[in-house]
Amino acid sequence: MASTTTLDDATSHHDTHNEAHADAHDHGPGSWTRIFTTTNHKDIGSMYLWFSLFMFFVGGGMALLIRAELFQPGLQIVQPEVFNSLTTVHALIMIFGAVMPAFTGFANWLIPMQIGAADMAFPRMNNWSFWLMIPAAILLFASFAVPGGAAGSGWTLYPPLSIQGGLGVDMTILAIHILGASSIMGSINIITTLLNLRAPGMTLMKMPMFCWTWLITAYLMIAVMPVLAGAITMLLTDRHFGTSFFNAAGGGDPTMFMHIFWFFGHPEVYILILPAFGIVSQIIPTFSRKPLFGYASMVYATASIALLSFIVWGHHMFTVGMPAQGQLFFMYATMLIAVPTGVKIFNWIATMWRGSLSFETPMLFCIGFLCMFTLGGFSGLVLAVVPVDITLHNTYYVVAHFHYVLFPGAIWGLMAGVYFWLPKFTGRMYNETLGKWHFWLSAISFNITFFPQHFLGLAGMPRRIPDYALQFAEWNMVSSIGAFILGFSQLLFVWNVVSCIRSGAKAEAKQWEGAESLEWTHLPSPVPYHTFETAPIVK
Amino acid sequence: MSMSTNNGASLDSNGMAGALVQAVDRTEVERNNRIMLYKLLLIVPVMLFFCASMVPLYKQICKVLGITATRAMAENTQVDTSRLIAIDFVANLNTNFAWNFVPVEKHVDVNPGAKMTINYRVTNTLPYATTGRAVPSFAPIEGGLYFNKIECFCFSNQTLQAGETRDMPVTFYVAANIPKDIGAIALSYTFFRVNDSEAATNLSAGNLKKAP
Ligand SMILES: [Cu+2]
Repeated sequence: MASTTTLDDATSHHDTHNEAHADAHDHGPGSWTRIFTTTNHKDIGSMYLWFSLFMFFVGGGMALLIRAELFQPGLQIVQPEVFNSLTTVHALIMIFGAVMPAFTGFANWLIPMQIGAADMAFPRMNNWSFWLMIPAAILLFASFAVPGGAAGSGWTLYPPLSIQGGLGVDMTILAIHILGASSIMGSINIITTLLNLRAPGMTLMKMPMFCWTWLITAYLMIAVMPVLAGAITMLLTDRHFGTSFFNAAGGGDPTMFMHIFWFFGHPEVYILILPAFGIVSQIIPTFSRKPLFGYASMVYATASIALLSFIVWGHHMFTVGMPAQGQLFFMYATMLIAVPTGVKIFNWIATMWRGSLSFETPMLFCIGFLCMFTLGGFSGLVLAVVPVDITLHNTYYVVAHFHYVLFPGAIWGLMAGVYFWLPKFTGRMYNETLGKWHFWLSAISFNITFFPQHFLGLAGMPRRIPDYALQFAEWNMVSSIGAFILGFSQLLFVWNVVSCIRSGAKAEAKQWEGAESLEWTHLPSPVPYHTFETAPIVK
Repeated sequence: MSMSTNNGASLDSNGMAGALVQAVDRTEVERNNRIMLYKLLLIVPVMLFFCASMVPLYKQICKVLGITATRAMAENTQVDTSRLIAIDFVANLNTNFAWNFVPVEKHVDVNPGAKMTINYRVTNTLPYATTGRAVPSFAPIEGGLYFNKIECFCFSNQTLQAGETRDMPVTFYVAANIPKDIGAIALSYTFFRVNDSEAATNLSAGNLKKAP
């Protein structure tokens, strides 16, 4: 403790940091009560990951209710109002409760180890950003129980519907405010860690891709979360304080909300995908036993995707009657994003080219990611074309598109990451056979679920409806069957993770021979509670 | 150095001197972190301000770039400027209907294809609320085939309170393919009184009670 005791007089902030450490030691690593006070990046990383796993299953359960209702035409299981709430909260939970916290969990675990830092820059703020998510989640769940039910306006919270809703909408708005604050704090922490705490010799252009993608994602988050907060605050004042920002009756404009919301919303989709790009960029070289092809171009491609994401929001609202010049601008800008994304896909394939490939579970998920995400990217290009979008807007084609980019994109990126780093985190190996079963079941059932939704959309089935015309019955039934297989095969994942932690075979320090980042080359498995108290020298 | 014992890979073997150097370094780091924190926090109010200033910003950008034409306001390319059609507006009242009914504009000349709005003014001179209904007719009759009304008050019940005056718009255009031999059209409206029993099926109870 000598190295840090000197510091105690220097800043009071550091005091508590040390106390929390000492505390954790007194209780020992086995004491679960330390989760309330811990400032250790590994503890907090695990807490984020467990939280998001729980939310993933809650959101997934809602998705299965939705698919059960849509199994056949007519109303069987839920009332239309509840159905609307389910689609809304499913999206909010998956975005803000599952995917974003899971990436933050990985950031907490990996960033300090990958850049040779002892911990995150602001450990106490780190603890706070995690615990803020709990009341937000409770607010979201509890909104189902209040009169009027949970928000039913879709996760986009468009007025006038979101102005008319009951208490549930207020609870949702408050929950998003809290989650936004948590994300902003998390981002500040990550940027400061990455810019200030790198080990000597770890230049920016030597950082692993996961660190790079998170640096850029964190900047995106700080930039757009306040915009979302502004939009929903205006919604709140429209609801309760007599303002008319979006209320046409009072001279406001509901389209304005869409503009502000999507100025946040499009960068948000990159917040959901860029860290997955980072994870994939580390796993593919490992199992190709080759360095990442075009590292620098990967960094620049990520940065240009992030910058372009600020000027394409109009593609979500081609049908609101915007000027033709506006439509053309947003259409071409959106298509432009395919260029840096294409660079990334090219680099990943070029990394595998003539590599000595092996297909362990993390690699399978990454290859699945490559294929399926590219498909989702293509349907995105289709939707970027104005005249096509005008017919496909608000149909199941859109639902198919964003599930193709988000499930094999964000979720498989995360799954790949869990399988890849689990031996490092726990010191034990997962069950490879079970992992492969998980992958193949997911891959097949995912396509059974979402590929038919392209057909439904092209045939004109609108999204966010609990009942539908008879001609859509067959593909909806297929989609629902796929969804149930997909949902239940995720239990294999939980089983695999839990049995790995409890009784997995011993993992080696460098479990994957091709892995090159510091956590594999410099640290044992499992990693000790405190790492890199003295920074390593990176050559 | 008790904590370093947990530290598998990077044991701190520098001893006390090393620790002191490290401590000084870390205060420096803490300070840098704090500065970074304030810089990053600054982005939050900046983006909130940006969010709030989006409306004037959009207006300004659209003005500078000349982006004004929405689809709804797109230019009408169907106007035949080579000729004018003379339109006369006539107002009639059915017998014993004590309303005052006149066209505000009695005559307009309009290019085929161009959109035009005129008004009729109606006053209820009776001391109680009354309901009337207007029926249009055209002269010549085939002129009516090319006279397209976009908005009109005819065929629907109009209830006026005692002494109330109302301007009722007619928005129309003359079809661009109107034959050359039709140079003028007269549009005439005749207001009929809707009898109370019929009005009762169409109107709210409030209006009914006032009628005798
Ligand atoms: Cu978008």
